[in-house]
Amino acid sequence: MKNIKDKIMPILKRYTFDKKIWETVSENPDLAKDLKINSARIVDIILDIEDEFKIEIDNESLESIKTINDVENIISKKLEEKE
Amino acid sequence: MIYIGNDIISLKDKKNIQDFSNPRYLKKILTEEEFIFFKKNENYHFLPFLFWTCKESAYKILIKKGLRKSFSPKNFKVNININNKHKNNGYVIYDNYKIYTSSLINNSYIHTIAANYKNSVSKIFYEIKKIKNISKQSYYTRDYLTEDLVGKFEIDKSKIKILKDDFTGIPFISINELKSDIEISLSHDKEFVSYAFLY
Repeated sequence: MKNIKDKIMPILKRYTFDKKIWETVSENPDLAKDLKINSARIVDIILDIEDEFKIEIDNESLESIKTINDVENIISKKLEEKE
Repeated sequence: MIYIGNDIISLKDKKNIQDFSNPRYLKKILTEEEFIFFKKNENYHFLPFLFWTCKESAYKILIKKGLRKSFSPKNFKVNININNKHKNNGYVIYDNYKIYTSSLINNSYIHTIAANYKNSVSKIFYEIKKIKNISKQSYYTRDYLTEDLVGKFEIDKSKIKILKDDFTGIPFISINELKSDIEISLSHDKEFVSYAFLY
């Protein structure tokens, strides 16, 4: 079974304008600074994540998302709340 | 301390049009009041774009004031008088902060400038340019701004660098390798680049 990170990577890659960025990024890149994903596309990412994991990401959670690990942590938390 | 922000959005871009006409997307970025206002005034198809640029511009100022949260557009409440299609003044509320805005609307883009003091908005110098190579938005934004700074402040071009703070991402001007206190803001979306500074 795929883990959370495996599922979010294709979503993030879909909204990365310069795909070459992925060749050099760190293990926990910042979505805006490192991956150059603008804020309008971050909303797209949130909607796709909501669909993929059948969860809802509220405003407060959105405010705490900076890096890929933040995205992963919020998804885990929301999935736990669902159980 | 006066802080400024600016934001531009293309009204012609397919992805923008698709997102800003998707009710689910709109419910993520607009407050309930803004969403209802838009539904009552759907002939103003540009409203979600307008609200977005106001929110982004305000966010850029709050980052300069020390906010360390990521952008959550729904937490920014826009209040704007749409009485003149060329210049629309308003304000944005976030927590206890009030940021003042002025927006330019035309058929191609919406551009908003913002400041944390009402009387500072009219003192913002800004430019909007259309570029051909959208993969070089960042380069052109900096290059156009540098040219303007050379003219306005009579500084040698080779001495000016437009840099970004590594931690906050806030852009600043370096003159002769020293951080300048000229307040700037940069933005770009698709073929449009814009910049603003206090002069």
